[in-house]
Amino acid sequence: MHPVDHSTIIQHILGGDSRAYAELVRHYQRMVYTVCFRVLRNAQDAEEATQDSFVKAYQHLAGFGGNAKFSTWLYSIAYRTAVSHGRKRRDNEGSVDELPHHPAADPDTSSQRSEVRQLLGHALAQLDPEDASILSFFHLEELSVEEIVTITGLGASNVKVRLHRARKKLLDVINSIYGTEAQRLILDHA
Amino acid sequence: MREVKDELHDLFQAAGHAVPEADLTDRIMARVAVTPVLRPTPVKPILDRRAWIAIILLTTTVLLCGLVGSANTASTSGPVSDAWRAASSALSSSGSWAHWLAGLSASLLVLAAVDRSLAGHHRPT
Repeated sequence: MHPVDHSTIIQHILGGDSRAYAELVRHYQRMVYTVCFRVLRNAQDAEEATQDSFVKAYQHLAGFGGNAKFSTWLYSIAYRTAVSHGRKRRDNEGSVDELPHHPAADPDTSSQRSEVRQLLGHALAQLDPEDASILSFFHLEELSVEEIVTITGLGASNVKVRLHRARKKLLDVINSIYGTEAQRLILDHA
Repeated sequence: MREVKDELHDLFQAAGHAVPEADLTDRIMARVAVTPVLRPTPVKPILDRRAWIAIILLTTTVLLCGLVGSANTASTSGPVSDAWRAASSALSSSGSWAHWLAGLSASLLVLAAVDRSLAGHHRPT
């Protein structure tokens, strides 16, 4: 993914060129969608939360001071939006967990990457959504504990403990469901 | 032997991001097109810097006068205590005016401080 000059794009947007926002959307939509998906575990809800997150970020773009990284700021909006969607959904109809695979829209359906994604999705679905999100922030987005603290609003020690427990639980789930097959996929892809 | 942390890291990296529908960008941009960017309302202090300095000077002067005046009341004579006594007696019918003035100055100082502080907090980033 090519690097994005955030400050220039933001200046253009604040100057009235709303179409410049498309570049930020294209660059971050998979990441934001993944954050929402980890929390909501439902493709439709995750897409709705992703849309809401980008619209909120656009509305409040003038308030982005540039003190934090743009990605951290955006993830923070996405995470809170997804948690809020999840809460509303639970209030309305109870928890609806679906298998976290999206084959119709996945261009990598035939590839091994898709197989690994499916495997990981199934395993993460067994975890608490908050723990799954923290794992994803740390291992996929490669964010620091401090950044995760900023995004989630949890304490640093809480994040570390959750990371440790979630890792252990995820490995247990992977081993119990997939056994050696998972190991093969990891080693083949590593 | 590789650590668990590394194995999981590789797994997440191998899986990559979840993939949304292909037209998600278009749908987001369609909503963005009808959404205004909210501009933080700049809040300026009611009192400018000169008024702020004047209030500090007034408060300091009144408090100093009060301190010097009360210290000199017990002493026999002196230009300051004489002036203080004269002013006090002139306004004694309206109560302890020095206390009112000191209170008023202190209140003005506090209000001015709050005014500037709030303006600082609401300054657009």
